[in-house]
Amino acid sequence: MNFEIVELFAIAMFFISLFGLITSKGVIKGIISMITMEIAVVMFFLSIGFQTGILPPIGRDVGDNVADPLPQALMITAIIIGVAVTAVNMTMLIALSRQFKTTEWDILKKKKME
Amino acid sequence: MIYVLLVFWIISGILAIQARKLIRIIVYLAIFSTISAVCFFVFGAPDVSMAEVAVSSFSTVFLIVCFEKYFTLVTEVTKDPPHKEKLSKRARKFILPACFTAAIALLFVYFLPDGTVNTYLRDLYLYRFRLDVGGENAATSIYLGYRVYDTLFEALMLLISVVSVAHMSWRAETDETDAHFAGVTKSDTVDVYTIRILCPAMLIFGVYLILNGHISPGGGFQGGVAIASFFICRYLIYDVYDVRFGKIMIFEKMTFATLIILAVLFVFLGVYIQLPQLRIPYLLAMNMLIAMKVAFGFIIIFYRYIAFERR
Amino acid sequence: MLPYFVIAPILIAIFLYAFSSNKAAKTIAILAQFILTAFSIRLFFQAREGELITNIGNYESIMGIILRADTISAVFVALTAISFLIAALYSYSENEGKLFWFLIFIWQGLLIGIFLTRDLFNIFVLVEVAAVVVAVLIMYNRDNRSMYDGMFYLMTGIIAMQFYLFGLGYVYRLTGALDMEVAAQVLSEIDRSSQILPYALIITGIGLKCAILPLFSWLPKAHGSPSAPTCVSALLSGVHIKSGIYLYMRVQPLFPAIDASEFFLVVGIITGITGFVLAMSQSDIKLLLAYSTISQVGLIMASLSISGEYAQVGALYQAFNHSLFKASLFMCAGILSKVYGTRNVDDIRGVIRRFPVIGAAMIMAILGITGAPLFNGSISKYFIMYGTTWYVTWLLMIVNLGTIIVFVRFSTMLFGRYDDVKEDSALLRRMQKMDTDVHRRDETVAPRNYSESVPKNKQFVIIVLGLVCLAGGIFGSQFITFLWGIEVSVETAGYLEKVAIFAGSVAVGILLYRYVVAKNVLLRKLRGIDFGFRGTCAALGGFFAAVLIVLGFFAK
Repeated sequence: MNFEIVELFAIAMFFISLFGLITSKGVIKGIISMITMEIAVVMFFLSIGFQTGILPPIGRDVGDNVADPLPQALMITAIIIGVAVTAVNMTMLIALSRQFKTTEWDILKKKKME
Repeated sequence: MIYVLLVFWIISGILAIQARKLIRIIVYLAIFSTISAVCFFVFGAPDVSMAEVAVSSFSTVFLIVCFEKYFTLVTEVTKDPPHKEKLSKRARKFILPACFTAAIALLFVYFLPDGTVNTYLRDLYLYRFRLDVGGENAATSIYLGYRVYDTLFEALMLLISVVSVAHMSWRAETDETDAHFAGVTKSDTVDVYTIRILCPAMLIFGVYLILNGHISPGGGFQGGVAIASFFICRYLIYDVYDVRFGKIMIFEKMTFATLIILAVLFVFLGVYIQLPQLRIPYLLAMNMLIAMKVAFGFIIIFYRYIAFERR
Repeated sequence: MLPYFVIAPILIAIFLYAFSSNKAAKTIAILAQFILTAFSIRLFFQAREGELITNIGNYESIMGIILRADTISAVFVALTAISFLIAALYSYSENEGKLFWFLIFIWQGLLIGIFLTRDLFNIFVLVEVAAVVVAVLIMYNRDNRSMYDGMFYLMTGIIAMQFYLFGLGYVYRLTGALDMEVAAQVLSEIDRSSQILPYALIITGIGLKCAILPLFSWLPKAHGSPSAPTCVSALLSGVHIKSGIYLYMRVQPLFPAIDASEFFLVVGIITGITGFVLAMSQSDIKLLLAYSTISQVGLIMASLSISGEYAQVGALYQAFNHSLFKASLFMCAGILSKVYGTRNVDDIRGVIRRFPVIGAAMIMAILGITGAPLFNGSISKYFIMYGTTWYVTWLLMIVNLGTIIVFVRFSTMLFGRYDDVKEDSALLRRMQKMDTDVHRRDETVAPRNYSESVPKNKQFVIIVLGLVCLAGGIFGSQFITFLWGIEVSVETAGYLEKVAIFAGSVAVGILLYRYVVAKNVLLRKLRGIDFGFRGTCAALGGFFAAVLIVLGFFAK
């Protein structure tokens, strides 16, 4: 067991988001927790190989202390996927709440069977 | 220093999750995203930082429009229980899940693998990226060169989300001509003038990001969002609603098809090996196409939200 | 060559959306499906000669993304192409509009991508996009209930993939590679204690996609959503769920030091039992079939974890067969619910008398899924149970007995007199009206026509599927050798024993159904069991913790 402190913050945020999901009464809170969860994972990825005073992998003469470019490229993809999913989720939520007049999971579950 | 920032990051995250009023959720979420963007910058990832800023600014506007328009009349949005509950009920609602997640988190930390980072691929990329793809930005080289196959699906994701937003929000009652919605009050002239001054700056900034994506932080996605926000601001000030969805939707799909064909021709078929002088033009063209696609996509999503079943 | 199998369907989809009219779309779609199927069968024959590998862009080492087609993935690709062709033929008589075909083609491309890729992050991207596409297809008709179902499916799927992404981060940090083969090589030199956490994270994400025990709540919602187009439900149960099982198979060798087979044997069998118990309690045809899919997935997962001689190939063949008969059953259910105007099992009677062709196809599919002799299910179950320990055999037999009971209930629709149930014409009219209301909103979706007769293309498709089930049983061992290149043979004595067991379990099943299941009030109460969204999130955490505890403290 050997870790970086930044990583612990990301793990903490991940599980706080999971807590938010487990206790989410409404759909909105679920969506918000999903967004924070995604950002927590992004934070973890970027913390891989973190040192203080690290430089971005841009330009010609950078020294040895350069950030890993691969997680960055991956995380741009992940962030864009996240925003696309959020947009779809919000649309569904609006359509649902228009029809059911509620955004709570329990009531939605009951009402959808009617 | 970074740890102080991270503590604030966690606090704002907790606040965003625990907030009850919709406007507070939006504000805390914006703070949360901004702090994460700063952290990403400190981690040496300016591209991700910019993408995060672009996404968070877009989603803030987006959430405001959504919540403002659709949830003011919804009656059963989560409310505080009026009086104090019994401990057993509160335990079931709060303490039990908290203990549960804390236990899982502790297990997680207990099983953390050892921290040695294998830098094989990192060193390879840093050594090779100028030779293989060109450009000065390693992240962009990976994004548009080595892993362009992933990027295609990411663009596809935006396309699908645009299609689904358009499909799900379509109602017969909202005719396209009827879709005009005066959602923003035009009385506050200070706001309008500020946005008017900012508008061209946004456009120029977007174009800068796109054209310099391969040598400096930024790129197609970030620039595309900036250009989309130019159009959104244009709507906010002048209240123009002259978007033709059918055409833009088809145009967006054609842009995506061009993107695929360009990537296939240049990378999949190996043209980059024979014609190294085309590498920089390829990166520029890809960034432009992605920016166009993203801008179209976000404009459609935003305008659809405005047009979606106005009350 | 391999990436074009993924990109071609996507380009076709864009072409359909941008240039074709709603009417021309389906003709072009079917032509394109034929071409894709031909190419994927060609790919299968090439992969039999030897593994095909494409390094996209020919970058050095593992810097790019590498695609691979060995026999397992080539069979899945061919299965995907054939299933989509069948689904396209089935939907030819329905006027679904070009948006539908656009999404179907993109879905096909993504599924083929999942089967071909060797890159861990690429899997993440593909699965996320596929989740959104499937969610949109589920709620394609924008009915209230399917909206909820699609949203539930999307949100739980995305959260599970966050677990997967987290685990992927650890794999990358430990190995410095995203390519599965290379990562597996590096991981084999790393001590076991470091591998537990990434394995648990990744398997939690994939476990939700496979719908194993605590994580299955999304499946009946997604697969059994009432207003989802029939061919979407058929494809979901037929091919889409196999992508989860395929990923499970691929992730196991990624962590050489970890052997979780006993854990997944137990989980698989419990999933199988829970699935059939819940399936028995349903009265909606689509939901019944959806819960039966859970049971079958449990069976496949369990048999993948059995250390028997031919259990792996038996599991693969079972997965292959399941997509045939389950697609057939879903299509039959779609036809029946349309012509009878109800989805309730107890209200549909006399299918054989009224529609002999559909009845025959249904009988063949039911015999296939229950593992009747001469049908494909019997061969796969024979190989799964070949050379296993006695208690595993017994447990698997219980799962099969449950499947038989479920399909005894299902086959009550076949018999009886058609007049037994008065046709509720008012209900039918109301459904028609609702449907046209839904479709009027959008000019891209034309209203469909209801009619008493079943279109020829649908009859053709389900009969062909039924006959393939029969052929897969008669030529079972040759078929396995052909598909996966593994020499197997069925011993007559052992097979006859299985036939006797089948006959016995059918008798027991009918008796149990008659006297225990049919009028059980307790089962009716089970019908409503549903974890809900919060429950599924908690189950994700719980499953993750369980994997950690079992691997970290008990197994070695």
